[in-house]
Amino acid sequence: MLNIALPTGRLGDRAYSVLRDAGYGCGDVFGDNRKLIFKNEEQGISYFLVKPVDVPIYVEYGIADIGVAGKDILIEHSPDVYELLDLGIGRCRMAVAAKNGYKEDNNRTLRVATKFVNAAKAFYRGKSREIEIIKLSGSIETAPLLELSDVIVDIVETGTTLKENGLSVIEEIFPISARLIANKSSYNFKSVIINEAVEKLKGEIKK
Amino acid sequence: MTLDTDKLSKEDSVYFTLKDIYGRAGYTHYRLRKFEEYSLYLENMSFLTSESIITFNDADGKLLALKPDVTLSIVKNTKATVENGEKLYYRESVYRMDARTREYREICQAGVESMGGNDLYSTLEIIMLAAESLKAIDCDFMLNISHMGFIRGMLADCGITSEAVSAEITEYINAKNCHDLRIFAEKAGVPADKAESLIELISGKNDNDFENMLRAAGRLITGSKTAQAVAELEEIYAVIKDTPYSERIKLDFSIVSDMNYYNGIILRGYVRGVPKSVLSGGRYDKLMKRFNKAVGAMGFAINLSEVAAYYGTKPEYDADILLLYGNDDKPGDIFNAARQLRKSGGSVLAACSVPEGKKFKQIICLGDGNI
Repeated sequence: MLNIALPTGRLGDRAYSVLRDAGYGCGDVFGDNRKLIFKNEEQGISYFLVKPVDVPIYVEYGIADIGVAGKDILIEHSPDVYELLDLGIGRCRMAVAAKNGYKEDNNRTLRVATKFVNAAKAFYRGKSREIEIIKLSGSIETAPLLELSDVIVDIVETGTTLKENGLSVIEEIFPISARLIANKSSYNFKSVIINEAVEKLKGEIKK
Repeated sequence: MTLDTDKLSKEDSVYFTLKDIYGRAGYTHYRLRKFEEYSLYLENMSFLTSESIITFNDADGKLLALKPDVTLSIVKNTKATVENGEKLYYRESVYRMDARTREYREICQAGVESMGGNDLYSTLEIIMLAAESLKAIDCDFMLNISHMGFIRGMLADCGITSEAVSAEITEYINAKNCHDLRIFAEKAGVPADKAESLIELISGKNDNDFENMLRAAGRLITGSKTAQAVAELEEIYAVIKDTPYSERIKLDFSIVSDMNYYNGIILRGYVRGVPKSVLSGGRYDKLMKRFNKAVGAMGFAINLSEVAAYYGTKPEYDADILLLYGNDDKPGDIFNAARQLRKSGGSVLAACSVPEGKKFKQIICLGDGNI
């Protein structure tokens, strides 16, 4: 049995489509209801849907043999897993954004609002810039508007939300896409079926 | 009295089997105290898996630390020479910060260290002991082998000299992350054909089969350092392939340990059902050199706590027999009755009432001093 963890939401739906087209379908029940666990006994596949940020945890603890997680989450939490494939879906980027026309004052500590504390810290450490991290859980865009922070570090997909709020990207940090990850122990015992899945998915991505 | 190993916890039963394996291989038990001077760790911080260490002062103000590692203490104290090697095994607690929960944990470790020789036999002996140790935990195990000399040579072949570049590439190698490695190698100016060879070796394409991987390594990599490592691996494989473990020992070049300490063969062991590696180690001649010991050394450690966490041995009953006695029963009668019942080999709990929430195979009442 190959256990696969997928993130709930749009990325999970897209990841499932790729997996289904590669021959790892689970009937047409997926996504039609609020069920979170799907099994295809014949094929020996079991899917479960978990919060995107939790996918690497389920994989690292071996509950799932493989899973699909965004590079943003992998960089933020550095789980001890194999990262076997760039699925090329869910493309976006981690970026620094600020109010339109923002000019940085280098004489004082930069206030950075973000959900991605580790990614933001690593980025500014590389620049030797003194910062104060303000950790928020959502609606990061409001922070510079209400002057809670100077800039934000967040995921930017199309940039529409930023635009609508009078913000713009001032620097890109890294590109993001969905990755296929695997538990290191499971990989040893199921290497044949996991490698087969990687090859089939590679073929599907190229199409 | 004989010890019923079925009644031991997984941690204890595995350890007693290991003790027997190591003892029969001529290794002697080594006992350490629970703490060390903090400076030992400060000077070798990158050897440790976590930099957070529990420290405290002794009566003279000297800074001490609860041991986060066993190997450093053994290396510091060893008097091993080439002629007079030391082969030791241990079972010790180490104290480390858990990266995810950010809390200190006490981890029970068992392991072996073979100091003195750096010949092929001593390497082989450690590899086979590692395989036998994993088998003692679970018959369904996998022992992965890599070679630090090969990895260093491979990076040198790629023209990588900068430590920062090497560190980032190592990170991708460890995660079998071929896609990001390809992009990064191009940025770092690694020739495309060299990068592709590296990618083929870490991708796990051949299911890490020892023979196939050896062939691929010999074909793809041409430097003299790597050739030397491949030759060593070939000699090792020639012995391994005729042992019962040949199918369970794999060659996986995605395993990389700290290059400042490890030089030759490195090991990582897994058992089915435990999601993290339970065994790790390798040849650490470089660590010995840092302590001015001019001998080779190799060893490994097994995380017994990790093993115990996944092999629960919750017994169905709290005791085989509950011996219930009344207020009128004489202490001597109760004692004799319990002793009589224990003769059958089962466990007997004597109590004046049935303990809440506990289960027994049998409840026996004592009346007038008789069962």
